[in-house]
Amino acid sequence: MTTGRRRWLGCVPERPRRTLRRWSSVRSKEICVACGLVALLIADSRWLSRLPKLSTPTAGGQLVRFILTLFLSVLFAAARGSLRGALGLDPRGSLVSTYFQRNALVVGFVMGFAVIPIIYTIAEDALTAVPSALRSASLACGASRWQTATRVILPIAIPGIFSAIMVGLGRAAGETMIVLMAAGNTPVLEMNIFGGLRALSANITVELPAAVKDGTLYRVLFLAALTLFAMTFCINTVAELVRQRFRKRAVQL
Amino acid sequence: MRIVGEMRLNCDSIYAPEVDVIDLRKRMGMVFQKSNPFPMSIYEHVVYPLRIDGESRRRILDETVERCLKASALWDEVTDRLRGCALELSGGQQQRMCIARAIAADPEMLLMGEPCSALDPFATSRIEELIFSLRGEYTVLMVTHDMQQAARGSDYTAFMYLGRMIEYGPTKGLFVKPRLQETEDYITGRFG
Repeated sequence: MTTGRRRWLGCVPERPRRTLRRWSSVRSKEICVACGLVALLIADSRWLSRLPKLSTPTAGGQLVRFILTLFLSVLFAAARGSLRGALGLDPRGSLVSTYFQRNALVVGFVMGFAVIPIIYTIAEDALTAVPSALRSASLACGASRWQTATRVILPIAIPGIFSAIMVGLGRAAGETMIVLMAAGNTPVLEMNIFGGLRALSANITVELPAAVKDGTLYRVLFLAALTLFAMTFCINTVAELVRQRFRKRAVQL
Repeated sequence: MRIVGEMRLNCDSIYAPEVDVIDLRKRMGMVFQKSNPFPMSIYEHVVYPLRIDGESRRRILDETVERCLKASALWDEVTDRLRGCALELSGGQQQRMCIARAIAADPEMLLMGEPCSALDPFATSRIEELIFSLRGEYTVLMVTHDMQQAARGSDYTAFMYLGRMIEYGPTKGLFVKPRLQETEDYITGRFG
């Protein structure tokens, strides 16, 4: 207990207890396999539908299933990590050249989550705008729901989904704080996705107080702002143009 | 919703719990009240049921298009624009194209939910002719509000009211000498 607390407070961690360590190294493989199997079984709805008790498609049941799957995947990831640690297969330094804890990959994930609501709402509009008569026509031909979605609904809604992605991209390009926090605030960018970065907008905010008026840095920062504006402007214009075209086509149906 | 009784398609009960709905839909072609063409070319539109089964052999697709469009009396009108958009056809043509799509999957029977109610009399007569020409090949089950239409071409007629089957019998018998007072009131227009 005290060990854990000290660790949490940032003290030098003690070596983990022997039993725990042995357990984790010996059992982790079995844990992996078991967790993977359970996660697969839970995710496979066909298997689930044979269980009459679990297959009820209520919101609560689905929530429980989601949380259970989430928990199991975290467990699975932890087990895999401990297995890799036990076998000494750390990709950092060998497979991945330099590794920063705050890196471009992390910011990619976090920004992805941040723009989900924007993309989701616009894409949902595009999908629901597809007339339901087409959906029933496709189902009546004997298509499954998945075939209906990929062959009929998606081709009609694709411009709307594209414009949703563009708007999300424009939003992500202008994002400051998330990138600043999660990407390690490293001004020099490299191709390695495990390296840090600093976004244009973050760069402007961070360096503007240090810039001398009419100095080189000052001008460069203004250039950066102009670039950022041009980028966002272009992305949003393209998104809007596509959306307009999509609307025209939707009216035709 | 409550269902009493049984429905069978060639001896298979369609409400049985083990019935695969997708398979059932492939066995029963469906034509809707309002024509619902996909925004594809006429060709792609007709072969859609084959495409979802993974058929991609050119020869079979071509044959199906020709057979179905000829069967639905649309072949002569669209031969030169099979690659054109299906949405450019007129309402009656679209409905006939939907019938072509329904028979492309080679179903055992055709369901039609008021296929002519959105069409003008001329287009209606074309569709009726088409339906009558299909009678040798498929069982056609058509719903209609049009008494004359029901009397004109059908072999058997069922009178349904508020989800209940009132009377069923050969068309001639039902229209000339109905057994129930309710049916007689309905076909003579004195109902309600």
